Amino acid sequence: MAKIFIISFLMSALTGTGVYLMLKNDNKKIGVVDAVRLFDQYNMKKELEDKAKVKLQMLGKQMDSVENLLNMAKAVKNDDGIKKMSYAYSYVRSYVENEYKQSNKEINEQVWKRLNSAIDAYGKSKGLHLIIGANGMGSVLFNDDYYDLTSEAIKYVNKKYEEGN
Amino acid sequence: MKKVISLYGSLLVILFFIGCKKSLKGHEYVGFIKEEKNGLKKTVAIDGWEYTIQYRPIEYILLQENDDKGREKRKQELKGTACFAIKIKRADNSVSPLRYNLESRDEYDKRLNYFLNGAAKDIKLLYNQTDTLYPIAYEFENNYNLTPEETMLVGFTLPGKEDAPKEDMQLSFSDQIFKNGIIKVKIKKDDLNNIPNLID
Repeated sequence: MAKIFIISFLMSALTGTGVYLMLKNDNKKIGVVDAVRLFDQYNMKKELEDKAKVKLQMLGKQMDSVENLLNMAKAVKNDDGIKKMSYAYSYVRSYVENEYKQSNKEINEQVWKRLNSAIDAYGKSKGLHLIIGANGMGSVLFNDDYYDLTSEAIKYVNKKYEEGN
Repeated sequence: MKKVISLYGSLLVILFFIGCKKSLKGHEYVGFIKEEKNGLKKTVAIDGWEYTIQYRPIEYILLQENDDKGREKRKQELKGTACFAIKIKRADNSVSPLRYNLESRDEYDKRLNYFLNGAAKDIKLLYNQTDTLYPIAYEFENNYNLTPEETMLVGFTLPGKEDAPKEDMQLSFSDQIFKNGIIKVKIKKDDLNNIPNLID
């Protein structure tokens, strides 16, 4: 009788511990955020791109003008003109390409600098223990809507950006 | 009937107290304006930097300037404007922003020149979600590196004939020196309406 009591007591204790651990794991909240969507839909990114676009479009037009001059020189078969304009065109083209690269690099850095701290604040406000960033490169193979917090995170980071703290 | 009258009376008293604005003395008033939880001062922290934007109501400016003789004239000048102070500092107060990670004297001069002459064009105010306002007054408080923070004072003319702002305001500053992107803060209409009266 005593043995049966001890065995049933041990089994109840084991079951209880199992249930407790399961519940404890359930409380470890995890979310998945699509990093590409988050980046693209961050208001500051759009605004910085719009600002940069004005300068880059102007440079693009200057490059087109030099290309037109080169084409004209080619049309009239002016060898000296072709030589000068080819040099000018390759110089302007590499300058414009560098400006594009530099502008993209600066925007990326500034946006991620802000997004990292905003996502950190979002995770804390939601009581999350882990946020997985899906980036379309296979880091997350599948997640259902239950774990997908992308829309909510976008809303949160944009509100934080627009209103300050 | 008596019950209805007493209930109605209590309701009126409650509404009266809700509708009443606080009245505060000078130093309490300044404390209220500077208290972040009252929504008139906001701090944006970015990667070791802190940008603090303080809305400065007219009475607050007059108290800070402490010039009794010129008070009325100054009050008239400030009517119809919205003024702000934008402070920039390192979160750890280690060094003045103008001197942070400097590589040359030229870089210091470039930064100083930007804050003296160029920063105003990167500041704007969105009023009532419709009107974009640009500064009519700008001043960089050059503290000659005596404190580890830099302050810009900026003022805008309000649209219409309002003496003081009554609608939502969103101040934005696009920092070109420290590459922290665009800093925005919103001062809400409700917080503006909650500004207490000043007891002279």
